[in-house]
Amino acid sequence: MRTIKLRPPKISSSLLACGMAMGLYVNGMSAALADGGRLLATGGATQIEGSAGGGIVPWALISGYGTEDEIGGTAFLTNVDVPHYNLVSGGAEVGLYDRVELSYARQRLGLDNTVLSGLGLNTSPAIRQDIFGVKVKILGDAIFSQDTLMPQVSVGMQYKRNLDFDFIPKTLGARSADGTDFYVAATKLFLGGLDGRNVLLNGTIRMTKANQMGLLGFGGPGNNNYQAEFEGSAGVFLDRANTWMIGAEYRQNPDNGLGAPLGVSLHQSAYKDAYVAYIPNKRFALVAAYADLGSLPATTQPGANSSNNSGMYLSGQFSF
Amino acid sequence: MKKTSAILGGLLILSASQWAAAADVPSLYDQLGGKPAIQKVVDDMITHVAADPRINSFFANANIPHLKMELVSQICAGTGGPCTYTGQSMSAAHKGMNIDSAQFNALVEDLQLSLADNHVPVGLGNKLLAILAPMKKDIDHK
Repeated sequence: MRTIKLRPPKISSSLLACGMAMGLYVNGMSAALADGGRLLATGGATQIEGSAGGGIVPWALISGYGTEDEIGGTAFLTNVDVPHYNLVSGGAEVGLYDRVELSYARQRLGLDNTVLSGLGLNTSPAIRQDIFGVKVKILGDAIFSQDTLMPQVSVGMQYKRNLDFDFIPKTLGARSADGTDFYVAATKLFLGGLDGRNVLLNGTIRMTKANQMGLLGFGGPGNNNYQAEFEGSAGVFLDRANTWMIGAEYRQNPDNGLGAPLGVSLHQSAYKDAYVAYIPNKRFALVAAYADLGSLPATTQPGANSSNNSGMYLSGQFSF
Repeated sequence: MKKTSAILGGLLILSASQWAAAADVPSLYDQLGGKPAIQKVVDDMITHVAADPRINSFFANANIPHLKMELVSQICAGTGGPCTYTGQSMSAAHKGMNIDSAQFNALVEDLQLSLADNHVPVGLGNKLLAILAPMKKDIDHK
């Protein structure tokens, strides 16, 4: 068994190095690419599965700054550290004519060596998955339709393929190594909506079977059907130029009874985060959040209860 | 469930604050500082537009004093001031110009620069943009 020691500081520095490399790359390209024609911040950030959105929730906005005549895009890298776990997600999206978004993300969940102690193992494995996303704006305009309550509405899907299914997810009782989430997202910006500040509200309904977004596979001993889950985001822009935004998110998850084969309760609860986004220009954005990834088991000892796991979320992205 | 109702509650507070604003607060026109302040914002916006290579060609042959007068009158009327906009409709005024979103947004950015130049409070600037934003559908691709 290959042992991977996870040291969060090291992950952070490699994140930084990667970010700087992406920065050099994007700066190199920017000579050839004009800035996209959409307004600052209207491409959103990139959520943890690679779709334009907040930190954990996909929004109806199309990635990047391309207008109906332009192609835009974003590359992102995100790191989340919670007790016993480290989650890294990186990838890219292309926004076609402010209408269609195609995305790819690779996620890697690292476990520290206490998590599998219930199986008699002293190892620090990682579980990886690939996520291919597509999103289509079907109606509305989140920014300009200020004379109606009509939001921008998009539908999307995320096809996920777990690359390390046979070891941990299967042992815990997950049914499939791959699965597809379907969602509809509604996003609206209220200019001057709260005490003169611009407010963004988003609601997303997702049909899913995923355990921990698919990192622990799809379906389980307790349920193998699609469940409708609610996800919401609210944020306020603090300054005139819409450079600083603070907000919070909430994301329900299905509970498929994972862990039953081991006599462990892995009750899956909701994700939450509170974030600060810094969007100095149309090239770069940084999101820092305090994120709660719901209950994750500290150990797989029989009878052990999982507890909520919160920690630091950090995401950087480059757009055009 | 609890979270859903919290979000709904947030929406209610948002709309409630807008109703409250409608009650007896002075018009946005007065809050902005009336006609002289709006004239200054429009003047400075046009200065930014003239220096903006993305869109200044649209204005190369325009009658700038007349354009400024129409813009001031339109903003004055839209913000609750004592004016009546008598110019062309937005769709008629932009017919055949083939303006795209990027060019419309460039003008928005020039207006934002002017609002900043004139230290218009963030909240008033956002409310002005909220009044102007729906015009996009009558200006783009005409």
